[in-house]
Amino acid sequence: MKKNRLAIFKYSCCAGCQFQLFFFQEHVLETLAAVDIVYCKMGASGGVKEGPFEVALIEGAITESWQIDELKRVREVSHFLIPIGSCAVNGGIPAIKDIYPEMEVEKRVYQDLSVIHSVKAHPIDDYVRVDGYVRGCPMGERDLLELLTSLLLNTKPSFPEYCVCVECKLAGTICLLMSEGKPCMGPVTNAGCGALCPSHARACYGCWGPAPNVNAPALAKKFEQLGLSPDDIVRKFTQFASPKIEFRKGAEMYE
Amino acid sequence: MVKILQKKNFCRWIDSLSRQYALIGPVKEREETEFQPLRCPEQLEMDYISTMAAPRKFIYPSRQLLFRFTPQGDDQLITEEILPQSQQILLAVHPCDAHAIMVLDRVLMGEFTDSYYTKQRQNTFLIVLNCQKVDKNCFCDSMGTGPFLHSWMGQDPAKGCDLELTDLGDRYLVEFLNGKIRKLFSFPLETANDEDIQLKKKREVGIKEKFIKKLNIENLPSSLRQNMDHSVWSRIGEAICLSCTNCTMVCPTCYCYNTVDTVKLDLSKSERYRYWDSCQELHFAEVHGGNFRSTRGARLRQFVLHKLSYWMEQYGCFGCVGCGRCINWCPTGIDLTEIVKEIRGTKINEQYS
Repeated sequence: MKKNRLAIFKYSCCAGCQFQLFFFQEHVLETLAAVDIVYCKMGASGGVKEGPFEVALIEGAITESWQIDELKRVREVSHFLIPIGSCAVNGGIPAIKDIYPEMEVEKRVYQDLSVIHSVKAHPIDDYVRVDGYVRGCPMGERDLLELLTSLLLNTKPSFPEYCVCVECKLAGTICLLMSEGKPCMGPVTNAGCGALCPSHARACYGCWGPAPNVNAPALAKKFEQLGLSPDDIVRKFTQFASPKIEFRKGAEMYE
Repeated sequence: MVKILQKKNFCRWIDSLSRQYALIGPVKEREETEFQPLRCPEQLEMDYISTMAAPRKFIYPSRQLLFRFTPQGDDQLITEEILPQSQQILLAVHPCDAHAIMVLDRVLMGEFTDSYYTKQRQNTFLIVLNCQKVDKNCFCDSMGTGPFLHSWMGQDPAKGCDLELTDLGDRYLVEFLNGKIRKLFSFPLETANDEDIQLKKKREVGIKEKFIKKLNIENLPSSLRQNMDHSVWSRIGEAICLSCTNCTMVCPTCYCYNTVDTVKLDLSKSERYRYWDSCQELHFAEVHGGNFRSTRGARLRQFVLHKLSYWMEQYGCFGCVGCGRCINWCPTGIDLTEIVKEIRGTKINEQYS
């Protein structure tokens, strides 16, 4: 059987999602047996950057123009193109800067701004058509496995498209928001992590980004009732997915 | 058969239960009380008010392996069904939750039989504990399912439950609802006298006066049906409802599920699971060509109307037992009794205008 060619392209991010592929627990050997990883900067130097690819995984947000050019070329030669991790799916950590003027952000770090070519951070689907999302920060193991098995079986992958509350209830984890008044992002955050933080009595901080059709303004109001300051509320909704309209709506009222 | 159990003997009585059954009961967990498998009877929180998760999860698990399938040859599959094997006793279930389980019996062991639910249900004993306290969101008295165990809308406790306990201060009134469970206890009990039975009646009258939350169920199914376009749905749906599914996940009568397959990467083995699904999720009503409940308001209306209206046509009873969980655990405080009040209020106004 001809093996599927898989390539991973990295833009602005910490590379943690690429590493997640090597920390894929018991599935590493099976993955290597099932697909041919032809380009993966963090795994091996060199590699084949040219297509065609059965699947291209994209990590990181878009913050420079060369990334857009490359991304569009990759799209043309890839059967499936999947953003992996919060930066590629939602803008992620790099997009925290999106709520400030670019110059203000750059000045904090650099003296000579003329060498900086960065623009505001964008998720991958702002520029090209995508065939699904493997969410998470880093990307979720279950979703990655689902993607790979669907690729092998030629079926549509089934990713969770509901909020973290569902996973808490399925696991029988007591609701931190209602029982202890902790400002939990669970009601608006996409599931897939297995409600990891709430199961350790920590409020969800939304690292997987928004679930579809969520009501961030209503949750922001709830946070206000719990005593959070406007700044804290803005931070909650801009930490991992500030370009996403679902979360923007929660932050806007308090900016 | 009515007996008396002194509270000082309670743990010994529970301990005398046959060892072949797993004991499940209300146990303190963080700030709440939850149903959990018991390590010892001392763990039991007999004066709990409510739990987050309804006891249904021990009969109808939130996530359940249904079967394994392995491909063999080119076009053959070997299927291995996984039916639940455990035998269990659910302890100190309040009357609302007991009726909720009997509601699920109608749904999953009625016209259509769910073999997984049926198997687990037949291996489950229900020990009901009549309520001593009323929470601010309890309205079982209005629905008719509590606070003490009685028949409700064709559901006979003698058929669906096994034992009824009533707290009488220093002792419990123990009423065996069938002979099967009596044989499981080896601890001897005293016989109850008329005074004990009168005290139970007095206690019931006393607790019924304590209800704050009320729901007028007169003509409720039809009056809700006449208000499908009421402004309350879009107002609460757009401004307040999070679509977080908490109401349906904690509801003791919700029975919807979705299935998912997990496949090993070498494609040698697969497993099919089912897990609780929710009508509050966007994908729930997604079909080819669109979604017939794409707004939060439409999904909220589905929840309320199913519980308080459509259920009556489907199963001949309400789908709501008045446990108050959907109100307790809604992060934004949506209250279906208030929605009903708003709808009924408007009806009255229309009559006068």
